Amino acid sequence: MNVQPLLEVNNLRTSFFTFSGEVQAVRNVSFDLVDGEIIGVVGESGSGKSVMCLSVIRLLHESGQIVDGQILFDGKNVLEMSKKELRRLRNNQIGMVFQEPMTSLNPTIRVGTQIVERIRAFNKQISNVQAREKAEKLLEMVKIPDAKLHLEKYPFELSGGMRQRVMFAIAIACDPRLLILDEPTTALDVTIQSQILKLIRNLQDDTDASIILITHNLGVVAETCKRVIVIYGGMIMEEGLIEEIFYKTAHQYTIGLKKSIPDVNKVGGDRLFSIPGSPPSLLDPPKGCPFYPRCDKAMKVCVEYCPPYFQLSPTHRSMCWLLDPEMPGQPNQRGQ
Amino acid sequence: MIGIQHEQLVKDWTPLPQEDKYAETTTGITLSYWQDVRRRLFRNKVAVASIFVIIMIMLASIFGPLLTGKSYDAQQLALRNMPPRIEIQTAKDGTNFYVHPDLKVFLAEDNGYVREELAPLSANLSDKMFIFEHNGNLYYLSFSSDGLKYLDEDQQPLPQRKTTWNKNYLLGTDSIGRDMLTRLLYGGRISLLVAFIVTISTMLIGVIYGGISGYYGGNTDILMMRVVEILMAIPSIIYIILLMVYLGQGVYNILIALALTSWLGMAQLVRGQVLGLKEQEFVLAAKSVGISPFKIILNHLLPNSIGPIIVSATLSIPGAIAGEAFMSFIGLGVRPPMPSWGILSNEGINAIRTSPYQILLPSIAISLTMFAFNFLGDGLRDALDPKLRV
Amino acid sequence: MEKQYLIEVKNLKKYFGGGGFLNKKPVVKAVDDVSFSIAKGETFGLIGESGCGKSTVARTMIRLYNPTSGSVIFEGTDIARLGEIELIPYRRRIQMIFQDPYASLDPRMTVKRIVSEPLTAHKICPVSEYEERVAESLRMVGLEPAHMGKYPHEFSGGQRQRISIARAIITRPDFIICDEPISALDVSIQAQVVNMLQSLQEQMKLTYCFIAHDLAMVKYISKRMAVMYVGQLVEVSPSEELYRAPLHPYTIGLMGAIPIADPKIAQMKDEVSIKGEIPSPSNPPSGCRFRTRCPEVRDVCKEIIPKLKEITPNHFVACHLF
Repeated sequence: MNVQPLLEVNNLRTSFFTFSGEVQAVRNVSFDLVDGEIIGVVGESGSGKSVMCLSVIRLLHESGQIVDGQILFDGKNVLEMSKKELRRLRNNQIGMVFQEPMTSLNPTIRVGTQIVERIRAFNKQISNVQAREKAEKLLEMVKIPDAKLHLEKYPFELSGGMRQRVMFAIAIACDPRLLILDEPTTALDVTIQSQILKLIRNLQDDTDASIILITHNLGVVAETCKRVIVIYGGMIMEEGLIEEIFYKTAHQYTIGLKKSIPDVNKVGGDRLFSIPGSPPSLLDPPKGCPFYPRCDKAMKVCVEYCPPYFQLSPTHRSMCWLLDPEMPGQPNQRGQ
Repeated sequence: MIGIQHEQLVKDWTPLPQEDKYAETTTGITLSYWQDVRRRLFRNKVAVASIFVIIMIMLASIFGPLLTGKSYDAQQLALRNMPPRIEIQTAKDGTNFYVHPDLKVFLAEDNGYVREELAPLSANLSDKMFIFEHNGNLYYLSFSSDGLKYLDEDQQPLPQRKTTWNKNYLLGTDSIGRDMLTRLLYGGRISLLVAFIVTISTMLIGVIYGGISGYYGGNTDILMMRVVEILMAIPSIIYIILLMVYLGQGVYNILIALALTSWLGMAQLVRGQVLGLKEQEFVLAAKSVGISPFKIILNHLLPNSIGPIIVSATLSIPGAIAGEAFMSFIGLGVRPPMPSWGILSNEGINAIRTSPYQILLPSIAISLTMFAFNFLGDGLRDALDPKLRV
Repeated sequence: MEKQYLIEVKNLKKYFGGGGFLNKKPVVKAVDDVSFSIAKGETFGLIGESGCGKSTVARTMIRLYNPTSGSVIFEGTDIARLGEIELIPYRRRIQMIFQDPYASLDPRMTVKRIVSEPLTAHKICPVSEYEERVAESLRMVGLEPAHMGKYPHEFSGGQRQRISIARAIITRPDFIICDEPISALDVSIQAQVVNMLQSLQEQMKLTYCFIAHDLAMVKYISKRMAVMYVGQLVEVSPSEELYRAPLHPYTIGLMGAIPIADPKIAQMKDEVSIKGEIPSPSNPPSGCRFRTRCPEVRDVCKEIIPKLKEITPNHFVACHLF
């Protein structure tokens, strides 16, 4: 059954116009998201993963511009929305959680007041008392103990994990259809991260929202997401279901990422595998495949032309010349 | 390149040799800190205009007095209180007269240059009139309560009148006939001297004091800052007045007084900067390597705080100029006849009704200079702010 | 058989706050009685979460902070007791690499000045030789010497970290403390830096103390590891064994919390994660500090602080269960 996707991004191009030139942060990205999915966006710093998601709600720095492409949320074109419609989109339909909870919360206002502010932003009719009750319920939903007590606290009185939970509470306050989580656990300790990941899984069960989880940690993705997008150099390198990405890996970058993680179970002191080189400069991106300078299977065609996407299954695609059926010699590399 | 039918491309499947892959690269354009600051500053039009104004004022003050051909203390009492714009009256026979408010009449050129005084022929005090004679014509200068009138033989005002710029003294003269322009330019020297000397000493004292207080922290810092705060509790003007009363008038004395009282704010600023930078990892790295505290302050802490220091110094210049002007205005600053803008204001205020230009000119000079430094300081603050980098 | 220890930390304590005659701050017991030893040529790993005090241990060892009590014995000399002047020759032999590649290099200095600064402090060679030494150091970390005239902001995070390492090795130290050197770097760069640290260790016979919160990476690089929790050591053991058979409930919980990059295993994992928040070091629980979150807590845990005891050879645990 063909369900209309909640979010459709087609050929998105976003650039930042700086003194040094045009930084092409997102170069031709397309993906879909249906209701109720958790999709992971994996990439390193500078890959464009955050910019891609900020473009969806048009929350870019003033030097940034969506140069090309189409973004459809629930069928409506986001790029053509008026300021009022955009505000309604951000208030009512989409919730965001960022990496640093301390800078996302106002340090001079009590936590409860900030949540109430959010609730009343999208629901003008609700009374203050009702809003406070809802705020308390939200804190309970994110498993903050003694919710009523915590409403009165200031952000600096809470630990990092608690603050992040408050951010989640604010994000789900409007019962959004889409949650964008931009590296929500990167700044947290391992044990707290594990709690938050559990929270994310529970929230998904409870609220039916779709979730975009941006991270650089493959382990986080493996624990929480059903589908994964791997981004590098402003473009999607590989997209697929979680099992396909981990067990039938089709792109050299993803393979390299997996190999770079030291295996806790392995004994012995071999050198860690590392992908040589550094991410490409987005001021002057290579015209071919963005990954070729670091790829040990690069070919001359990779320098000349950027590869198209090859479908390995209805849900799994990858941008790599090695998958081209025209390529002579060995069968396609998979899953190593 | 996506979207092109890949069947149409000619694909070269040969493996890429290692050399064709990038080596370690670095990003973008190499801009040193100051180059970047300069670029950002020059984008700010107001700041650039201010720099231009300041340079003009400096040039005028340094070279101007040499070019006017007049000195700051030469008096021409006959032409005292002469405004920059004067009225020349022309008689039927083409003679130009200039009527001076002191009830004197001068002969003048067509262009407005005043030549010599015309002595009165006789005086008729009961009718409140002076009678002049020139080239066979009689003229009457009536100074009754109707006002000052210069009439020809037929008791009529002269046919032609025009207002021209004062050609003898471009900006007029003061109450004892000294050239306003030269005095103004000289005053500029004083004000700029005050501005720069005080700023430099503020930076020196403030930076050293604040640097030591911030770096050592703990009880040293607490003590040193309490001293600053206690000193700051009393308005600095009182210290300055007391110092000037003790030291007496004079340029050097006012410089000393201002320098001794203006470093407090800078000390606090530098201390704050140093406190913040002290915990940065590059400072810790320098400490762990074994660099001496003196070198850490000099090579690491100060260069990284220079931004706010410069901004604060620039923004304190208007205050110093105003301070000197005020002190001179109340008679405790520069010693006359050496002019400063404050002294000019002091002298000018007495004639504010009759010769308003005498106070207007130094006021404009002070305001213009202060504005220019303020805008420049604002522009520098924006240019030096790392967060505003694009 | 006496092992040759390069550095021994004994009963190290570092408390912050308290004094100041006008403003009394609450006492933070950042490091509370920590002892361990590192043999020459070894890599010793130190892990823990925020507030555990691992960075404070590092900075106290290198005398950026002065210890409240305890000793740091480097090749027989207690450097915790030395004055600043006497400490200088030791500063040449012990170096440190910091966490934030963006803050650990002075943004106003060129790479050449940054890397040669240790040379000026210790007068190792005449100024004319600086350039050559800096070039050699840069080459050893895989950077082009031609880049030495550039400024830090022109380099990526991984490259900046390598510049930090070049600075650390230029004095040919014996011991380098790595305080979370890879936490701020991308995954694909982390491996590069770790590999480089290891090859430098072989080349220059270095000893490392490697501090991080990424357990997998620390286990990979260290032979022995210690786990810290709110200022105290809870478990010390060879890395191998720590993963295979962790004994302390905190260590067990920590291992369980690491996200595993394998969906099948990830989904089979126990839903049990350590509940509760990490206590603040300014107000730690009495007795065993982990008791507020421990699934095996008993009455005695509230009263008595457990001491490190050797359970299996070379494997120490501080827990009343043993």
